[in-house]
Amino acid sequence: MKAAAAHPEKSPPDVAIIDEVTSVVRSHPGVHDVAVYRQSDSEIVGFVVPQEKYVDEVLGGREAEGTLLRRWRKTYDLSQLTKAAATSEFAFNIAGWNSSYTRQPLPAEHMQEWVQTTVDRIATLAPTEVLEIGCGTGLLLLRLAPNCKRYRGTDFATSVIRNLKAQLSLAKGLSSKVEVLERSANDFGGLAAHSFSTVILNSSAQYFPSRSYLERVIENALGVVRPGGHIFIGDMRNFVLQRVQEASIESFQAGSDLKVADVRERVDSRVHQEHELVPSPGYFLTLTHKFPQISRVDIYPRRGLFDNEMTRFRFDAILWIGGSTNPMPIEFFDPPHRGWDLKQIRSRLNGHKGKGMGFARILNSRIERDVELCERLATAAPDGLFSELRNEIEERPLRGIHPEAIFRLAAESGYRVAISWAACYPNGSYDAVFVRKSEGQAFPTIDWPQPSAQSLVRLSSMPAQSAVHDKLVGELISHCRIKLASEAVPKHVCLVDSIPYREGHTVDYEALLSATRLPR
Amino acid sequence: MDQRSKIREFLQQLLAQKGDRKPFADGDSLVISGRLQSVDAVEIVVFMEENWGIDFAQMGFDESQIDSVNAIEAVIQSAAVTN
Repeated sequence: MKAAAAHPEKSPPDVAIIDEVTSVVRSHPGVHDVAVYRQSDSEIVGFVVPQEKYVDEVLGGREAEGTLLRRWRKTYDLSQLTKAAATSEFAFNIAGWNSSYTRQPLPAEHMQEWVQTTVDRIATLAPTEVLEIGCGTGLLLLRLAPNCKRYRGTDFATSVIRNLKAQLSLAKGLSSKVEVLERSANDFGGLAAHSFSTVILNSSAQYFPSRSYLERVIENALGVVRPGGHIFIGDMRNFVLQRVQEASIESFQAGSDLKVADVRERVDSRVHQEHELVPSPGYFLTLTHKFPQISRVDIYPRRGLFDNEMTRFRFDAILWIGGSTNPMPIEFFDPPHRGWDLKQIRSRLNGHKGKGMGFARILNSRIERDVELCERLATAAPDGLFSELRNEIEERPLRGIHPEAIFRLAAESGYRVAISWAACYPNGSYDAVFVRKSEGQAFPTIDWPQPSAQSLVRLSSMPAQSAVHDKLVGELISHCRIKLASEAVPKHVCLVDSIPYREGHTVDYEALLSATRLPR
Repeated sequence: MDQRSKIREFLQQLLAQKGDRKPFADGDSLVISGRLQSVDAVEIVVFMEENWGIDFAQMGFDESQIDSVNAIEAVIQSAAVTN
């Protein structure tokens, strides 16, 4: 915990009030860290990092985790009782995979691409002994296991495991090396240390009830992966783009009569009631501080040509365990004033003599309209018709580059390429590194651009804890009402994951304010 | 309280937990329309299992079975006839 920080730009009486409020808020047992800010209209805002133990044990956070887990388990059990599950073809049971936009099943060809791109990415890690947590109906297991020595799949839903076992009985040559078990994600009982090359959590961690639950699973996984192995946490929605995604979905579903204020309210409600764990890529980067055995973290946006919520908003995090990291020296070029276009990148590559080169902040054409829509939604006149705003944005020409166009360009130019979301740019832009094919098969370690302090203020949604956090905010306000004069009681309390500090002790208010949304 | 009122009251509570206090008719879609997400809809399944002994593992499941007051009542009545 850091020392109380005075507001850097305020006059002495303000500083005294802010110090007093800071001290009172900090004295509450549910507070790990706090920064207090006074807005121009004199309203006081408290930014609070909750004390995890208090939230879990006193406010019922742990109990709420259990409730949410039971609900997800039941959801998945029910998905396997449907006609879609009963009539699915071998190794392709996609029952329950519905579009958030249409609420209809995702098209089979989109899911085929999703499966293939996932299998391809995991195959680059050369898995031999695999533990897949949340193996579901075996979309990955039935494709990866034939090339592995040993594969253990676990899932928390009874009917999912039953259907997978039925499929396995039809698969040739897998029974001797594949084992599937019904168990919760954090149950590592009976697993020997360092007995797996790869732990896979693909499209399963979003059903974890909290980030601390995910962290416990990762900690356990680190115990069973041997040095040189990997933890693949795939198909995660990106917290940096959570609001953009919700705005995109609401925009798709909004009728032509809705006003801007209506859609804004629906987006706010979706964000507040998030049931899934939506982590920021930045969260996975912070794990290297906590777990020194993680030597490298790669954050890759999902690949695919189809336009859907997976290719727009999701990413894979690959944690490399042990081993040395010798990053390839790469120079990253900032974009020109109007942003990168493919022609400029091709021209730079053609004139380049080195082993590789990097391009920073490439605007992502896949989501640039969604990003603009989300930004405009926040500032547009509330009484305006939402459909007019939507039409105006849809008519604009795209300025960004489709990530798959980058991969095509690399193939045409004699390079291999990786694109990264590690920097957590708020508009979903990405960084790309091109490496000459002659530099070897494995893509080298890259020192990717890192997130700003602002991007680390909030690291994920808190699916099981939103009600518990509301309770904490209520407690803090009541606590302040008892201990402070009425004008000093914070008008709003925002819960955050960390308070950013400059030079270790002064609160970086700029980063704090730009990373949070104060209630309107 | 009759069966229909009991179902209606339960759905009203479920929607209210999500801050949705808008009225709904007995035939209005609540799950497929998106007013309730699938993870919320699980509560309806548990409600039907606990109060009327509905066994979806036996009869198979489809979201349309829990989509409205009318749909829920139809499933309960059909299960009662079968039993």
